[in-house]
Amino acid sequence: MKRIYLDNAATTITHGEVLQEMMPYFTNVFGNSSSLHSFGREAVAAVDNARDIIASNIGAKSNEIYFTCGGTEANNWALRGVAYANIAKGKHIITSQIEHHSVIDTCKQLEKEGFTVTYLPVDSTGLVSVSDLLHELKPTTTIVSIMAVNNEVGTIQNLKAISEIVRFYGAYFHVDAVQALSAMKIDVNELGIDLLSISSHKVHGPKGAGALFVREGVKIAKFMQGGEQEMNKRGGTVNVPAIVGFGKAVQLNDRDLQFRDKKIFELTTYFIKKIEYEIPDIKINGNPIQKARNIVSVTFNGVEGENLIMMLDMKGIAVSTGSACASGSLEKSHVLAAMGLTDAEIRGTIRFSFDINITKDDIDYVVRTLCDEVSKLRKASPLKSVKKEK
Amino acid sequence: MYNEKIAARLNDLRYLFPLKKANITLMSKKNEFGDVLKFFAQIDSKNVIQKISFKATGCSTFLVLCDYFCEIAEGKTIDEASKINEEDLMKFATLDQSRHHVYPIILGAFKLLVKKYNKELANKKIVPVDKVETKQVKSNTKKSATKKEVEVLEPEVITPANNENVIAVKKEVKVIQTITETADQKTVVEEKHTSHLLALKQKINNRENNEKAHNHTHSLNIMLNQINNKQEDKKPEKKSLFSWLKKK
Repeated sequence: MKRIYLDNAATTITHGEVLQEMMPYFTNVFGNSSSLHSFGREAVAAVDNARDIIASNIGAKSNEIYFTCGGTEANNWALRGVAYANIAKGKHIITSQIEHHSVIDTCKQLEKEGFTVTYLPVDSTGLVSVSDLLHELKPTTTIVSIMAVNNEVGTIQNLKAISEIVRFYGAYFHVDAVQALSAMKIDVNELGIDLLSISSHKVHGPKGAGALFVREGVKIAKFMQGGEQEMNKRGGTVNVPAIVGFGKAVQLNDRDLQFRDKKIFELTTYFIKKIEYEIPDIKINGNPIQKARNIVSVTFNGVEGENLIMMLDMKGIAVSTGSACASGSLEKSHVLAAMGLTDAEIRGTIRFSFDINITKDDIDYVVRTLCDEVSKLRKASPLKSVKKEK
Repeated sequence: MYNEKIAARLNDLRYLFPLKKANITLMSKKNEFGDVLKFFAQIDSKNVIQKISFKATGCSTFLVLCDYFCEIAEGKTIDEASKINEEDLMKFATLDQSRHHVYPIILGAFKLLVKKYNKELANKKIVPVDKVETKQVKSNTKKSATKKEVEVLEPEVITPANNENVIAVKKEVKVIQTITETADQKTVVEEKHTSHLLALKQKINNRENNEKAHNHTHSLNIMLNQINNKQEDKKPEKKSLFSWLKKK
């Protein structure tokens, strides 16, 4: 059976060149980067090389890059580290309602610990209003955390405008750029970013590696105790092979960014035109202009997204949904809810995330299968609210 | 959350269709999870569920378990089917605790279906599925083949795509077979019917590409043959009448 992977926003396949780059660090170069001997020094050199690559890619200095085990850790560290290190200034944090759970859940935990958090609303396309931010900023605000690219709908935020206001109020600006790294060029200086979270496996790198950019001078508390690794900011043995792979993946991502962006734009445009023509009563979510090209969020009215995912999976197509039926209740997507979609629309929303290995033939197959399965599911409904099929 | 058995069955739902000849249906109210279920059933005079089907909106587990419920309920009496419980449904697949909310929706909807059936049966609003046809035939036999009934068969009101009209033709043919008037009167009425049926057949044949039309033509041919056979049977009767008049 043909297998088509359209869930690249969840994770990507590890690039062959990345794997090749990593291999020696599983075998010959296996030293602990904290060791003083040559084995250790070899490992340190490899980690620092990756650090240099990543730093130059985002316009940062090497000593501003701290490796983590992934994007979630980087987000946790940025929020908790800044919140506690700047407690003298205040205990107010600002974020948006459409952030990743690693930000939202951390903020909720901080609220339990005595901090105040403002969750900014978004418009129907997923954009944070700069005037809302301006209204909520206080002298006690220590950090503002806004994601660059939304992982569910792909909306890109006005980072430059936000950073200007945040800096004016003397707060730190943290950006979750986990989804953005593969979608756009990021320059932390140009965008005025103080802290930035990135992850390896979203850019064809291995899982288990991420990084937090912390601008020099930003007051941030140590995240993990138990060692002096990562410039004494994060304890724990460094995952050398994964970091080497991360460095290579970022290098390749930067090299191919323009070509990939153009190809993915062609593919997603073709896909959107086809489904809009073939399937009635659907809606494309997200901002039509400020949008990551690889993410297409579609609401199929009158359909349960979970059923559609399972039916597509049986036909070899991997996609994902924004909601899951969990804990005895429907845990709906907080992103789509914040954008104002109804419960039924949220349940019928599917995310397709593309990569360059997809062909137009693959898209034809996906659209054909979608037509069949959506039609089946709509016919299964005893409710007559769904418009008639074409 | 992913369950291989659920995923496989989701692509092979056997009871997910509206049962057109259902003598009882029940649609559940939309619950907090957005699940809606409609049962269709054919229940006979011995309270046996001859056929059952469903339509539903809900998660994959919900659709699959509705399908499985229909599978185990079909062929059982309504009392037996009412005894199906969560444990019986659990036999299909081991589900995560978070999915257990689907059981009461399905079992509750079926109980409401049974309740509605019993109530409507008691109020004579519905008829057991095995009594439906017999009752209609009986009621038709009471009527005589009057001119009014023949008018029902006017070709212009019957279209090949309209199955109900063809059923009406069949019923009228049955009426013709049961009339108790003289043989000559019978022949007159039957000939009139025959001309109508031929007109119908002509009309249907004009729609060559219509598959339904083909089926209707086939059934009308059978009916015409039946009438022709009947007329042939009556020919000796006609002869004997003629010879009797001659003798007289």
